[in-house]
Amino acid sequence: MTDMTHDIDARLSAYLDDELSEADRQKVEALLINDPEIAERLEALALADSDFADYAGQIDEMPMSEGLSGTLDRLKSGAAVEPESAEIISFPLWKRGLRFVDEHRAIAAGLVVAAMTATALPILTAHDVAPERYNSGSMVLASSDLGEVLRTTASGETHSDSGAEYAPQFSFISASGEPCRVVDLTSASEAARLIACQRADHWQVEQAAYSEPAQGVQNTFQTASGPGSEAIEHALDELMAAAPLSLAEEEQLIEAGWQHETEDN
Amino acid sequence: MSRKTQFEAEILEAVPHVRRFAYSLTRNASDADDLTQTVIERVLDKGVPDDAQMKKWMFRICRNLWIDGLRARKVRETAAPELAENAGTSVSSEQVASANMMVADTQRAIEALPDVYREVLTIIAIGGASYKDAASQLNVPIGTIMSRVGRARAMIADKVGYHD
Repeated sequence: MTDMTHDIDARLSAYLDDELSEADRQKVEALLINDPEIAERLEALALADSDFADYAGQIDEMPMSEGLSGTLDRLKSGAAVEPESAEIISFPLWKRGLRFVDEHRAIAAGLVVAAMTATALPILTAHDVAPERYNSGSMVLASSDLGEVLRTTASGETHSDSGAEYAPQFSFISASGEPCRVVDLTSASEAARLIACQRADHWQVEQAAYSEPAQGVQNTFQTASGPGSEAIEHALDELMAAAPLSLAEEEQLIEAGWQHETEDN
Repeated sequence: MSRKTQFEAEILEAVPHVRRFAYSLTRNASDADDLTQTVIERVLDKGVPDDAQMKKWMFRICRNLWIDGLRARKVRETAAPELAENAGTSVSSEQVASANMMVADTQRAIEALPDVYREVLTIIAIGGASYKDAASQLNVPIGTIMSRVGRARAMIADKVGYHD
C-alpha cells in the first residue's frame, strides 16, 4: 500500500464525511467522474463505514447486562439520583474535595477572586515563589518551594518559605491516573489556588487562580465566585476521576514518592 | 419538567447511542454494558458542564474510560502475558451471537482494527464528531484524524474485499 493510496483513501473518506474544502471537494469529484477505480474505492469505503455502523448497532439486539438494566430502572424511577433538593442534580468531585478541606481545616474567611492573569512562566525556579507567577502549564522544579511542598507536605498542613505560605488542600488521582494536588498559596500581596499534577518526572501546574489575600487572615482560602474560582472548579471537574484521597492514602503516596500504580484506578 | 427530571431524561435518551459507541470500542457486549453503566454513574456523580451536550459528553467520558481500561490492560499484559494470551483466545457468547448477525468476514475485519483506528472511527462514525472535534478530543492535528479515518475504512474495505 503506497502513500498515494493512503492519501486518496484519506481524501475519499473526508469526502464521505463532508470534511473537505470546496476546492478539494471539486478535485475529488473530478477524480470520481474520470476514474472508475476511484469511484469503486469510494463505494468500498462507504460500505466499510456502513458496516462499521451496523456492527455497533448489533448491540441493540443483544440483552442488556443486569447491572446496566438495574441502573436504567433506577434512573427511570427517579431513584438513581438523591439530591438534597430537586434543583441540585449533581455533587461535583471538587465539592467533595472542598468538603474534605472543611473537615480537616478551620477555614475562617473567604476571599474575592480576581480575574486570572495570562502571565506565562514556563519554568518556575526556586526563587519564583510569588503566587502571581504560576500559570497553567508551568513546570514545577523539584528544587522550588512549591516542588518540595507538593512532594512532602500533607493536606491540612502549612509550609512557610521565602515570604509565602503553602497549604495543600487535598489530593486526588486524575482521570488519566496521575496524582494531583490542590494547593493554596499566600504572600503579602497575593493569594492563589493551584492544581498541580505529577507528570513522568516533574509536577506541572494544571490550573491557577489568583486573588487578594483575605484581610487579617493568613493562609485561609475558601471557594469564591469569580472567573478564577470557576476555572479551578472546571479544571477539577475535568481532572478528577474519583473522590479525593483520604489522608492515609495521601500519606502512603508521599512515602512512596508519589509513585501511583495506574492499574488500581 | 424539573431540572432533575430533564437531566435523567437526557441520560436515558443518550444511553442507546452510548451503548453502541461503547460496543464499537470494546467489541464485547458485556464490556460495553459495563462501560455504559460507568458512564451513567460518572454523569450522575459529576454532572455535565452547562455548555456541554449530554450525548457528546457521555461519548467523551466513554472514550476516556475505555482508554483507562486499555492502559490498565496493557499493564496487566506486561505483568502476566500468559493470562493475556488466554483472554485473547476466548470467545464470548455475545461474540458468537453477533457473528451470526453479520457476515463473518465483515465482523472479523472490523474486530481486527487496531485500537488507534477503532477509536477515531468510533468517534467520527458512531459519535458523529467533526474532524475538528475529534482532533481536539484526541489532541492530534486534523490531518492526522483525516488520515486515520481513511486508513480505518480502508483496512475494513481491503479485508472484506467488497469488489473482489
